[in-house]
Amino acid sequence: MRIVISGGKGGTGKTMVASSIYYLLRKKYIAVDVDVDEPNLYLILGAKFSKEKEIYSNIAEGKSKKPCRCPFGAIQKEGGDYKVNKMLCEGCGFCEEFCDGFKLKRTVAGWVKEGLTRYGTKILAGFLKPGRSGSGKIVDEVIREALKYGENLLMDASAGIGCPVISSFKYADVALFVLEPTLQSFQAFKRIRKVAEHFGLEWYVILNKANLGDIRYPNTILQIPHDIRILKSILDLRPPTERIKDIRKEFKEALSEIGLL
Amino acid sequence: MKIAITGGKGGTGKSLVSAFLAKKLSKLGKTILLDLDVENPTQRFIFNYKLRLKKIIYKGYPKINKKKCRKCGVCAKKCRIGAIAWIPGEYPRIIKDLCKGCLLCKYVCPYNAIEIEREIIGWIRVGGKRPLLIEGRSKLGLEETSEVVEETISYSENYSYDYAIFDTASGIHCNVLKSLLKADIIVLVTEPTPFGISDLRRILEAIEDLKKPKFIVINKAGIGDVSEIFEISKKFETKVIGEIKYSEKLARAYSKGRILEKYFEIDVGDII
Repeated sequence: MRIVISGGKGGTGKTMVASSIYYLLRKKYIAVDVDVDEPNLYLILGAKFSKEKEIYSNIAEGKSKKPCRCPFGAIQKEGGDYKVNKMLCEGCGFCEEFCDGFKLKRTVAGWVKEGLTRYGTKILAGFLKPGRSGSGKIVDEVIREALKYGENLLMDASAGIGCPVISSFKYADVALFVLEPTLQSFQAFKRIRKVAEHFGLEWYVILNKANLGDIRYPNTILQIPHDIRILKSILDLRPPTERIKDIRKEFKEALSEIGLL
Repeated sequence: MKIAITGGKGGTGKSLVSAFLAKKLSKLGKTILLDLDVENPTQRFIFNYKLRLKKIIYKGYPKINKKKCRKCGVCAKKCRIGAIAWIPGEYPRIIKDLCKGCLLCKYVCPYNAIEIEREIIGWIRVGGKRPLLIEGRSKLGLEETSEVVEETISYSENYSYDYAIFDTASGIHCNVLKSLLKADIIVLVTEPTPFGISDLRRILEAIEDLKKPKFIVINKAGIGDVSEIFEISKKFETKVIGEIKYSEKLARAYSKGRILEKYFEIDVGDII
């Protein structure tokens, strides 16, 4: 099974939930951190990486005394010359093709790292190089690498519903939405549900910080109250199901309910 | 003055701080709030505003005109993204999922056989006052949302204001960076947890080359150790200018769209 943990809105507790579930499934599942902008799953699982692969994409380089009509507005005046603003460059090559002084160069856009969690089980994580675009490509690469080792993946996705999340949905069978009982989270749920259904994913809801609001969702398999023990566990960088017996029991029940345990 | 509120990690309180600042600055001068979390804009619920559709955002994608196309394959060869599939003897096929819409193919086609097909990629809605809210929203399923962000910022230039607050999305990729490039001041909202701190470090690395004043606000202060945040602040030449105390009351009220200002200890004067 390929499970993706997402939620639309950031900060709902995806990594907390992903690590909690992973701890229970660790003997059969590969942990995959596809929150490539801000990876955190690898931190809470105490990962040590032994292998690293660079992912490349093109960025334009060069300068000119003349402006160039970059479709993304990445060629800007700096000092006396027109130069490429790397933060805006999409690597399309328009400037290389039509303007003098610019060329595409293959540069590192990110990394796929492989290693073991503190439990001695396999983990892969994607890291976008800060300042670069192209998260979707890194996500794609991490998942492809992970699939070389097995079909059972537990993927911790990015916040939002943009390209890094969509790239992870493409490979998944089941989506677990980690949501909060807030207006903001509800709005995100409406949107992310449509995307999941577009990809034909089975989806379920895990409601986190349930006592902070009255909103409830369909297909909810687990409700977690805001619990100081969970916070302490996160601050210690440990999955809550590792140390807290009653929370472990609740997660086990929820996973059994949907046939994952 | 354009102030961007960001932070890298999701859920640290960017929208909360944006709303708080927008309210405070509305008392000092004409203020507009831009909701640039275009994949899921929710400021309209915090302010309970009715918004009016002001602009539909289009993007041009290439389309092969089979009447003019001679199947030469130049477009496929010149596309560096690899978004055009071509087998000799067949028409080239544009792979929508990969296409960035740069239209390089259109301009290299020797037969002028590539046309521009416009598609809706987002909407801009406006409403309310003190602050005025300008909301950008991307079409569901749109992969690259940074153009919607850009268009929303450009649209906001139609308004006169003393202060513009940019509520950005989470993360560090281009839809966030575009907002930060256009801002004069950057405020980063973080939280004293290992994830919050790790993410703060990454976003500060991502914007190291942006020579603009950067300030840090610590949300959920009290739940963890802040000393590392102060270290990072020093390392990246930023300044911690305030905090919001963690409180369940605040979280509950915010879940319903209300902001309890008494938990905020931020000196707005430090920013402006």
